[in-house]
Amino acid sequence: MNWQAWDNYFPPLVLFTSLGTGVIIFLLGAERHRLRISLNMIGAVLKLGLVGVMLWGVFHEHTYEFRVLLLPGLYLVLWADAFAMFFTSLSAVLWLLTTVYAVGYLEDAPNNSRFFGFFSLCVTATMGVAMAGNLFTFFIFYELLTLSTYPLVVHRGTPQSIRAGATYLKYTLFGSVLLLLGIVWLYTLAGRQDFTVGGGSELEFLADTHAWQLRVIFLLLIAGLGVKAALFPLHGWLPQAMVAPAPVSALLHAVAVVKAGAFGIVRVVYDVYGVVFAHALGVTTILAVLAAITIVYGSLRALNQDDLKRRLAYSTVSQVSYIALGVALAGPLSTIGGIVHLVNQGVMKITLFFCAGNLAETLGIHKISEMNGVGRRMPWTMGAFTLAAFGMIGVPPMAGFISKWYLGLGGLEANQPWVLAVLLASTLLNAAYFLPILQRVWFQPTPATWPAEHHTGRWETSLSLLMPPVITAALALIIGLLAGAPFSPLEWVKLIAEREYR
Amino acid sequence: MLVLISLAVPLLLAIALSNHRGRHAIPLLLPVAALPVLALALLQSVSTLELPWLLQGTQLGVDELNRPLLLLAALIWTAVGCYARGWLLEQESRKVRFQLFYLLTLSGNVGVLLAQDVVGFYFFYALMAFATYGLIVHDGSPMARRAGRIYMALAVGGEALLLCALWFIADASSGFNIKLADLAAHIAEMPQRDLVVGLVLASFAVKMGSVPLHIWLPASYRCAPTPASAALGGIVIKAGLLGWLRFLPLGQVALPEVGEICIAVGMLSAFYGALVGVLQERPKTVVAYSSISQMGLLTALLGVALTAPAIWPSLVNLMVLFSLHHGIAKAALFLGVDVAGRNMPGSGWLLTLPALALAGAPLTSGAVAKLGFKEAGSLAPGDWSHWMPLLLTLSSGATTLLMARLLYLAWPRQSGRLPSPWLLTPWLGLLVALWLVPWWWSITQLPGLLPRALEASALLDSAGVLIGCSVVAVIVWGIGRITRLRYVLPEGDVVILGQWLSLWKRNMGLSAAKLPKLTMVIGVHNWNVLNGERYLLHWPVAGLGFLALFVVLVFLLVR
Repeated sequence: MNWQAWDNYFPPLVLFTSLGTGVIIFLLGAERHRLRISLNMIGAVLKLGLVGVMLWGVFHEHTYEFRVLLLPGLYLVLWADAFAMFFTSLSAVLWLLTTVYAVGYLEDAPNNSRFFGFFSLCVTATMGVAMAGNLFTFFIFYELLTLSTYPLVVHRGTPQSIRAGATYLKYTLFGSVLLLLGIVWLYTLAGRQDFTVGGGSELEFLADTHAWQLRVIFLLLIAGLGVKAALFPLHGWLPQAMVAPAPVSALLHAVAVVKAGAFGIVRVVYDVYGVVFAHALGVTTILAVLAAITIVYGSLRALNQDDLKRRLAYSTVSQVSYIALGVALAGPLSTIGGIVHLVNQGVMKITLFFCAGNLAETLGIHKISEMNGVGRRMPWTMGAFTLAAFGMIGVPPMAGFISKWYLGLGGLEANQPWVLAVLLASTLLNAAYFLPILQRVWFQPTPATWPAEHHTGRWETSLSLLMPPVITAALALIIGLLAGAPFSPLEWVKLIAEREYR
Repeated sequence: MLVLISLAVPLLLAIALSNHRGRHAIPLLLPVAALPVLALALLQSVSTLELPWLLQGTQLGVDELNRPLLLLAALIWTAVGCYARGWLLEQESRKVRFQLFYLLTLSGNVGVLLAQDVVGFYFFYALMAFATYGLIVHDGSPMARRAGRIYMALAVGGEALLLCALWFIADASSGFNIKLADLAAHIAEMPQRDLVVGLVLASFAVKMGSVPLHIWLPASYRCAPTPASAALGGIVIKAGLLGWLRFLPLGQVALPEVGEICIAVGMLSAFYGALVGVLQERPKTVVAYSSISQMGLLTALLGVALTAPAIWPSLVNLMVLFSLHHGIAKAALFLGVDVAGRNMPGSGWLLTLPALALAGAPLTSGAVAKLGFKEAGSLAPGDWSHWMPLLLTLSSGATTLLMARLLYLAWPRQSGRLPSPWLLTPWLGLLVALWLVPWWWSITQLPGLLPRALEASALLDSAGVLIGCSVVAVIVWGIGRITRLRYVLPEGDVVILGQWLSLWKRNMGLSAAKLPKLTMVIGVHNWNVLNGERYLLHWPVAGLGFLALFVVLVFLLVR
């Protein structure tokens, strides 16, 4: 067996680092805290290392592909192209940080082994979604993601979280049905194909005879994926799901579920239909309009939420559609803006949710109206929050500015100047719902007591809660500030766009 | 290297504030935070530093346009830094917060001046705009918070318009990030030139306080602590001017319609600022309104430049002269009002010096600048060439009235002691600089202007205006004395009118008895009575909505 063949076991190995961890955690007793934490950390670090090696390989145009025949003619394919690696790296980095955070957050809570087990499964599924090499594989991991997230959403077991979990299942399973229908229809029509970078030419022979069928299939696929990506009007589950524990919300909004949907949309447009062909079919325009509506609608709904996590959730609804918008505009520049937002939004939003979790865990603050003067009590947490919020508004030098800059340029390049209006409206609305929070946090007098304060020793909160948001906020700053540096997400996305449009 | 140091020093000081031990040293360092900028303005040759990894490839550097403004920035920030040091000694709380926002505003300001690329400029401009908020709301009073809210709504709207302009600019170029030096020629050839020019004008008009986008300015300047107001009114406001100078196709194409709009808006602001300012009760507010008025003059001159690209090289030197003159005088006025408020003996007379300069009295920098303005005004398009010199003379008169009002309000009522040297030295330093720097600039860059300003006829002209208006001021004051009329308009004029209207609507039928009180302009001096809080709560939302609508309409029109 030569080195070349070994290489192809990298993708399943990456999956195994978290799958194996998850299985072992399930088998462990609930009281084995230390061992569980070590396992989690070892898994996360190992995965990061593997992903690092693969990044290097993919940069040098190496392709990792792992293929197993499941049923006659139906392959399970795991591969790593530039785009897959982009999402995989994001997940690997943020998983590590979220694990650290979750350990601190759930220190004394019951049912930790159930939580961390499903947590690992959830990450496995996300990795699988990222590295899926065809729609069939994608669907398998996409479903695994749905099922492994449910126990996390209902983890607290309160009536409210059970209800949120039920809504989540209703929405996502309905989406899965549509997605499956679309996939099966497409397979019967066009055969079982793998994703092809810059491809879709395989579908073009159907353009004359089956154009309408292809359009309907596209809509089915987008609707199925749109549930997870929280496209309007399929976003209803997301704000409810914020009852989940903070690390889950953080992962849900930044990497796992929502991003899996957005990632799928990108795959369908670029690597199933091919962006040129999809544009010729006219389906991208529908997607662009839907995304634009979602962007504005999500921001409008965020304006008058007093619950911090709810406001953040509506902000996610709005921001994730930046990705869909960038893809749907079907130009190299908007592609850059959309795809780079996958990482930028992830890093910024996970910071915001970490901070929200810190407020809840340390001071018992859940509502924005309780946040007066909290900046003086928790300067580092709120400093991270402030950076991330400015990033969401799209103020340079934060990461969010880079996405918005390229999206706007892409809109002009695609000759769709209305995109600028949508982006500006979103900017102003983001300012309108984030700046008042910052005003409260930093400029209002501090109250004498907090709703439920836990004393935490030397730092403003325990270190494992404090470090993750500080690190992600720093990342969000660095990604934007050093956008021109080699190996920045922006440069990597330029590589992806170059390969898609080659 | 010096470029990086100038930017890094204030930023590093700001970061050092997070350290408990560092906090004790920073107030002492405030006065030196801008010294590298001084060295930069005086020593650095024209050059550009490229930082390809930063943002979209940031470029920083010194050129002929920003060098005098860097000098102005260094002077004002150093003086204000000394003053802030003295002011901080008197403060008991919120010291760290003030220093943080002070240093961030300073960094942003220096960055805006140094930026040589489009995205870099936008970044520093945003940094400056957001940091300014912290200075405005510093004292935490409801009024300051309200001022901050209005400021923020307008500032964010202005940023959005600028971003929109940047998108169009970048789209029409291949590199997406253009050097500011090439920008004028680039915009002049763009297909969407007029749209971009409109967006740029509107965006920076917020900072320049052009009517009707001035509503944030008076209350903000008045609420900010004195050193902050001096910096805002002296140099931060010039970032708006620099934005116009950098982003408009000046000297490239003639845009007569746009130019005339600028002249009209500028003249409107010049008179509006002066006349509403005269009716103010607080000295700092009067100084703030004079900023609106003076920036209006600059706007009008910009309008002339837009119509007549051929004379642009001499106009730009004139605008720089005016900026130097106005910046130093304005900072000196803000500091002086505070010093006079401490009843320092003789401070009234010293305060008269910058007031005279702003009013354009003979032998002041203002007289030179205004003569230059009048000469340029006679080159304005169409009928404006007749009206401009007259209007400029009238506006000098209005400024004289405004300054008379200021001196009346700020004149020390009792005799006190000398304030600490931290407060006194920077003020005196600025007064000296006011007679040195603008004169030096006009001698070296505008040959002939100074001798013409010293001719007997010019001296008589400006003296006549000054004396005439002073007489008017005395008469008006006398009438007020006799009839016991109080000439007062609340700060923030238009916003207050909006509040009244909304209250009026709400109160219709409910309490008609309140109406006369609410609609009476003269005599209302405390706007807390009005309880306009609820209306203003909606202000940012309404303001943003309006801007969004505006953008949409522009698109519809362009397509």
